Amino acid sequence: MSNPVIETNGLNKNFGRIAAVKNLSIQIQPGQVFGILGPNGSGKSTTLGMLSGVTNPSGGTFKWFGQEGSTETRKKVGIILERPNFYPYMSAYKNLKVVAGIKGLKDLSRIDTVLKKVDLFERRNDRFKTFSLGMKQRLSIASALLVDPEVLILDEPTNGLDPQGISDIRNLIIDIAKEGKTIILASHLLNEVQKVCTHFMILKSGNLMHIGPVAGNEVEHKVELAAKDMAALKKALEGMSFVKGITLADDIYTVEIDEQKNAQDVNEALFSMGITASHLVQKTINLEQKFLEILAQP
Amino acid sequence: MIRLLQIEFLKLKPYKPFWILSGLYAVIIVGMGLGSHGVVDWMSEQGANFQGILPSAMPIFDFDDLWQNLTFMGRFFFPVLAFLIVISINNEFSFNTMKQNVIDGMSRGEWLMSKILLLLLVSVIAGLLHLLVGLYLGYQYSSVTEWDLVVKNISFVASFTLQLMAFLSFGLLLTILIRKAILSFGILLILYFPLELIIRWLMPDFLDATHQFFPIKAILNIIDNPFPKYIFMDVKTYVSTSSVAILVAHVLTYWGLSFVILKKRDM
Repeated sequence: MSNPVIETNGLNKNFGRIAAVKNLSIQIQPGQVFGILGPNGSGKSTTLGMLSGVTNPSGGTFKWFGQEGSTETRKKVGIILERPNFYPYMSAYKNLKVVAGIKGLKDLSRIDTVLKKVDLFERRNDRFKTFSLGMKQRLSIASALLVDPEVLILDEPTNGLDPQGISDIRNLIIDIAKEGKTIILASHLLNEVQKVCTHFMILKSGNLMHIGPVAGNEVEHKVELAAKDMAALKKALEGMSFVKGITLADDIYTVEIDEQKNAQDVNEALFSMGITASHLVQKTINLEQKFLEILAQP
Repeated sequence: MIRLLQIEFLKLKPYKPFWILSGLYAVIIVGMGLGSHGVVDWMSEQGANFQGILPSAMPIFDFDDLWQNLTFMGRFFFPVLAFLIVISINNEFSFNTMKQNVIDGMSRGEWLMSKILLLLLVSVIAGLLHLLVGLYLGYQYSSVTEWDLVVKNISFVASFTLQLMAFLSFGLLLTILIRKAILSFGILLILYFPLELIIRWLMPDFLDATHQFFPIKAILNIIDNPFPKYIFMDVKTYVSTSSVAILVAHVLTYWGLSFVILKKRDM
């Protein structure tokens, strides 16, 4: 099996007396789209800062691709922390030329390629300071993609953007993930993580609260039902083999069903018994509820 | 090395203030070359004299005196280059681009090295400019132009280059420490001009004993003011090995401290 993209061992960071990250040991495997969730101040950015070489760990170690983190590993990955940092007096193209110089990229045609990818090619000769926040953030992504990295780290990539900007960035991330790249994404926006991530972890006050795949967390198998004849409905439901539990609240039955079945199966079964449902909703319990549940733990 | 300078050049090429200040400095130094003889004559015509001696009667432009006179005057224009260096390096902090450089794969040491190389290059170019101006002034006005007198004490230009390098390195350290362009430059200027005058006024004995170790004094000490010799006062007309050694030690300390600060700091 190949090395994990990132492996941390007891990673710590203290700012004075405050512990921002406590004893973090995680592994991120190739191909994962890994979400780091947590409220503000939970240690997300500090963790990414340590992995990116800008924050010195107080203790513990981390490895990139099974090796000690170094300038060489940083040249091979694309990293965007917080807000876009470029030289405001320089054009988009020249800014990326500096990045290419640092990363030792010889093939400068890549600059045009990535600028086209983030839809900034037409503006390549305009100075960075004339860009909107959304364009600046897209230039960050272009810069991160410059060396065609296997791994992309994004810290709050949609922070401060308008809805159009958020949707642009999100689609870009989904496109990049489809290419099979490993993406590590810190966010406090749950539906963002839910929409794009395969795995996630939750940090709270520097502690790891949860780590695992997103799949399995987004849906619990419950269906809400109501009909004109509630008694007949109840009787019919009780007769179905895949129904595991029925509860009544506000004249609506909440029905727990087998994992392989869904609302459509329930509806078909009722229809065959001559009952028409007046209310039928597949109830999904999303990451948000899971997240709040985990954060509520002491 | 070359790679780091190339990156530095990419950053500075489109930065107009850098070229405006460089141009201003070049104009000042060349202006000094073209105009200083006229200024000396003008002072004499206005009746300026030093203990009865007219400035125009002093062999200011004669080889080999010229080299010390010229490089001593050169120090008064250091602040222009210091301002240029402070603002272009401070940009990396105010734009957060040093952090981005590190994220993109530059080590902190490489980043510092790229700035040191910039200082070296600026100092060498300023030194060459003084060399050219000195040769022009000498061949124009010197009463003697024998080759051995021309090159005697030409080493003042090398000392000047080292002096400028040290001054700019001190500016680099202040910029890295403070990360505010105006404050860094202000402190540099205060240290450059009046602070030592204030200390001299308050504690003359203390200053006499320790003066040569003060940062700016150690930097300026390498080339003494040559002009009092024209009114028959005793001045040091050579560069002493000890002042070069003290200066080199200062430069290495500034670089070392800069590196330690950058290394320890979270960005």
